[in-house]
Amino acid sequence: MSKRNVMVNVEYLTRVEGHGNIVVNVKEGKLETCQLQIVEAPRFFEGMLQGRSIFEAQHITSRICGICACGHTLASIQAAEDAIGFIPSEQTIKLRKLLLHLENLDSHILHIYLLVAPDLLGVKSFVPLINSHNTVVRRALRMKKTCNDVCDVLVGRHVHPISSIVGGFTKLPTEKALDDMLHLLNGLKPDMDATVGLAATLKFPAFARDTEYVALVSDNNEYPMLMGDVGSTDGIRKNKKEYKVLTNEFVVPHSSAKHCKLSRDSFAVGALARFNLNADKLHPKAKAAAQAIGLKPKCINPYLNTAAQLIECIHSLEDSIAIIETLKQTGINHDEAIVVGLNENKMIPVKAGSGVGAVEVPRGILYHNYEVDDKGIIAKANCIIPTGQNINNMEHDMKKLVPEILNKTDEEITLALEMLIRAYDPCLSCSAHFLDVKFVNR
Amino acid sequence: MLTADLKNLLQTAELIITVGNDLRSDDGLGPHIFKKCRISNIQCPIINAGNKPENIIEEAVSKKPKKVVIIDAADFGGEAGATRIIPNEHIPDTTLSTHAFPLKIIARVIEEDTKATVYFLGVQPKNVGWGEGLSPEVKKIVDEITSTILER
Repeated sequence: MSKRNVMVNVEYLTRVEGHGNIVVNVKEGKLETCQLQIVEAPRFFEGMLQGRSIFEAQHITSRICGICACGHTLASIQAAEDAIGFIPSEQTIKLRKLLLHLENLDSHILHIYLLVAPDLLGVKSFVPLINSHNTVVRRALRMKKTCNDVCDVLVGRHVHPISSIVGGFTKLPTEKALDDMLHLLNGLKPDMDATVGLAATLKFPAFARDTEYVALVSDNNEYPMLMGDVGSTDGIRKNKKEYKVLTNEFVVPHSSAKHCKLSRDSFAVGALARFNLNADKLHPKAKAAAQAIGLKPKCINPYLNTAAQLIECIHSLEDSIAIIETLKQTGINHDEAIVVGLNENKMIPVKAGSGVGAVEVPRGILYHNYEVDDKGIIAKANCIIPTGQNINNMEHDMKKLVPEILNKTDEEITLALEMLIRAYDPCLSCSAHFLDVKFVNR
Repeated sequence: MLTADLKNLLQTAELIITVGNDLRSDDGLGPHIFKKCRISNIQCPIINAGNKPENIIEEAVSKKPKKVVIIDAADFGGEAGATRIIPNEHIPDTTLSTHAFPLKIIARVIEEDTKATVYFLGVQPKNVGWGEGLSPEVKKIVDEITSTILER
């Protein structure tokens, strides 16, 4: 091993959501410090939820993240419905699955093109690609707009869905809306094929570290995104109610985000974890694309999380089309529409209880847990964000990677570390969480 | 106060695109201008990109403009409410968040497809923290920009 000294200090890592620093110190070939410091301030959403109705919680928590707004909405709704013992209709479940697919598609496309492609195509940001890869930029813009437009048709907004609430949907799609969504999604297929073609030409960095991968699992043939138990590649399988045991959050001095672990020192969630646990349940076209780009479970190269995201894009696109076609065949039951408001007309029966929502969002499993009283008012809330679960794993990856690349220049080491963290598509501002604030006189 | 050149630019633009998030105080100045123009009943070529600029490319290109002005909040170290034409090379390659495509890309695609000249009109915000409504300084210049656009 090289006996050299290396000091990496990346303040404010770019092309990730939020603020984080990479700090690495190698002295005479020995790794002394290797940290991913999260320097975002906590945002106290759990505190904001106390005293609020479960019927408004999804609109509040949607604001935690502009990328995973639909995921937060659905985790919030699931936690609330679990707490009061409400079972949603099959139609509602289908529409919620569709919503999750749309968000997955939207977020992954943004990450693949805007945040990762510049590294793999050898430029510093997305903007220079307009000169060197004009068609790629235009394709990215078209795909993103399509995702925005379909989401708008389904839930009334491009971001922060308004019609998805506890009990179901305030506005259900008309026959025309279903046709519009089908038209938009079918129109996305040529660009998706071209994206797979592009991915096949990209060279992802070679690196391997075996870790525990955690994702929703189920006994049916569906790639689980909305429902299921929580499973791991180390053989763990538990009900979502045991989310605290599954995450084991702990505090470290250098980060405002908590760290997590399960069977080992760290674990990973997200597209690669889902692929590793559920690849056999992907749509046939997604399976074929995985084969074409050489992605096989269990893949232990974290850089290939981006490749797994691409595979999920194909699955989400094809499954979205299948869901809409099913809804067209059965027809939408508009009698299921929920009246807007705080359940003033008592359409949804309420009782006291504790509920957990566990939903696969683009970056991994998102947990919401609410304790509610017999009027549906939240007494206590807890949200555990996927990036928070991944940060410890990122740091362990960094600790293995740095000694393996000490023969590279400082600039190359810095880029390799930045690309590693970007591969996880972290949402650092959402992960900042740990401060325990005691309010006086409250 | 707007200079004569800026007034002329706003009145001769064949398309005005407003950008911003109206839940982030003065960052909402663009959408605010758009809404005031829309409710005025005076026809003017204005579209609002809000915080999803990638959504308006098709519509902007379909209007085949030759002169486009993009209005957005821009921190150039001036006094709140000050205005400035921001040269293209000073528009950052990055975005304020990872949720949207860089404005520079949007402008470039419109330029390529229409051969239009695109100008960025930046207004110095006082506050871009969470909140609705504009600061008095920004509201004053927003009113002037709006009335200039409507006087065309």
